[in-house]
Amino acid sequence: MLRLLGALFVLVGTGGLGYLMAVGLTEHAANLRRLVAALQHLESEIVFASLPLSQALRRTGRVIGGEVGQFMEAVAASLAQNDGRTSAVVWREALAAYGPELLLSAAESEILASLGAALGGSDREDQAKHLALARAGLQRYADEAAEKATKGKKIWYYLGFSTGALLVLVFY
Amino acid sequence: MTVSFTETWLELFPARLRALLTEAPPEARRRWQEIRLRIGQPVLVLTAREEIWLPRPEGIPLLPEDLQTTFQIMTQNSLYALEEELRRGFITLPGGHRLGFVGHAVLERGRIRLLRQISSLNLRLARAVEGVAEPLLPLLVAGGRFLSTLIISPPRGGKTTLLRDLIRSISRGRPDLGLPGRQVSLVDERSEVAGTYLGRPQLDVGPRTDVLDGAPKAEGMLLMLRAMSPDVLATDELGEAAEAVVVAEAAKAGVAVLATAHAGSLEEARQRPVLAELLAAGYFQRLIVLDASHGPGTVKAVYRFAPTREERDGACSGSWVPCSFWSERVASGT
Repeated sequence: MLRLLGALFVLVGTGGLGYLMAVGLTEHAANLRRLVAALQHLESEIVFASLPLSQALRRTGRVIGGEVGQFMEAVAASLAQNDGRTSAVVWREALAAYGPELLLSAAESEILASLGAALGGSDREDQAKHLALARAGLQRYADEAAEKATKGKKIWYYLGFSTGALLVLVFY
Repeated sequence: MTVSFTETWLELFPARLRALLTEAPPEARRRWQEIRLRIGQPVLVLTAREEIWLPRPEGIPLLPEDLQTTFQIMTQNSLYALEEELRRGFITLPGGHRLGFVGHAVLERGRIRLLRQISSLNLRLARAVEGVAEPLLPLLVAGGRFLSTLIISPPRGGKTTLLRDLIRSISRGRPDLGLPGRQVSLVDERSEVAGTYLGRPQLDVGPRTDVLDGAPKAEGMLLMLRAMSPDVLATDELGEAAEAVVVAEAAKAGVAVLATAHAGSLEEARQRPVLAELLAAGYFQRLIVLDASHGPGTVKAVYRFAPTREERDGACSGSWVPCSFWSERVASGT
């Protein structure tokens, strides 16, 4: 009886681990997709609506939602304080705080970091270029991540359960 | 007269420069009129009498980043929203302070499209002076109506300040003088009177005032006449022939005009063709002459127009006579 319970625990444990890994993959892909959508939205707020940066970010954050939205709203809130920091500094700090939650890789963070350094510091045309560049870069990673997620999800599920099953078979 | 002075402008500087500026005691800062930043030169502060290099005594040269961050903070990290301002080289900031800037000009068809790589900043600090119009108002109102008034003054004579205070008073109304609050339309070509920043007037121009910001005066005044049906039409710095035509138009429509112009005296104004025509035609009923020699905002004389003969289209001939009331006040020193 005790052995059966133990075997069940092992199976659930490894299976759960596999599930978590799969969820991480999907979430990463979803975040990248959200970021691309957010930059698209931000571009229209900046280029067409000419909203001040803090307002443009706040509105984008509300529309996009999720952790990406929280990141943007955090930048907007710091900017609205008018405490003598430039948007580049505020963006960098927020990125450091939210980056891990967004599950971004170093390369993906780097794209956002260089966008942050340019945001709000030049004319409309130039802003549009920076935003389009960052969006294109993130889109590439988003596609990759989506592919990885669909394939990887199943692999991690199976791997989790089959490892559990193997352990049970060997030690039962 | 109350002079309100807030140091809202200190918040416009990045931390490093703010520390530098706050080295001076607040009493000294009250006398500052301009703060100039140039790449490779120290911060230069101008008061009415002296110039101060910061930090004292001879200053430390500014780095390009200092200007870049200052400019970015002053534009609220939203340079892209300031297309027109980037072309004309100045913006009005919260608090009505005015930031002038130059750098590298990007051209389009031979005209400046925008300025980049900003190398010089000049912050002119605004002081809202309330109540300069107080003693003048009784002379400018008759039968519950505000009379068309032209303010003339040499540069730095305080005419924009007086104009703003008059607009505010007319807009609020002065029941004690029998003047109810009037609808005022202000054409603020250089954003100097209302200090509009991102669509919002930064200086108080009264509750019944509509501001058309950044528009050329003649076109803007016509638009205001048609669109906003004002009781009083106000603008800064008249001087073009096209503007005189609109003033005549307003007079015909029974709209009072309140405007300023560059001139040291009535005689000087008469030598400028457009002003001479406006003064002779009787479109204005009152003329205020400011004098910069005793500090900005000193009134040298007030004239009233005494019509002798009515002519067509609201014009009439007549002469300008000094208001005795004002001459007596000046003579008795009150």
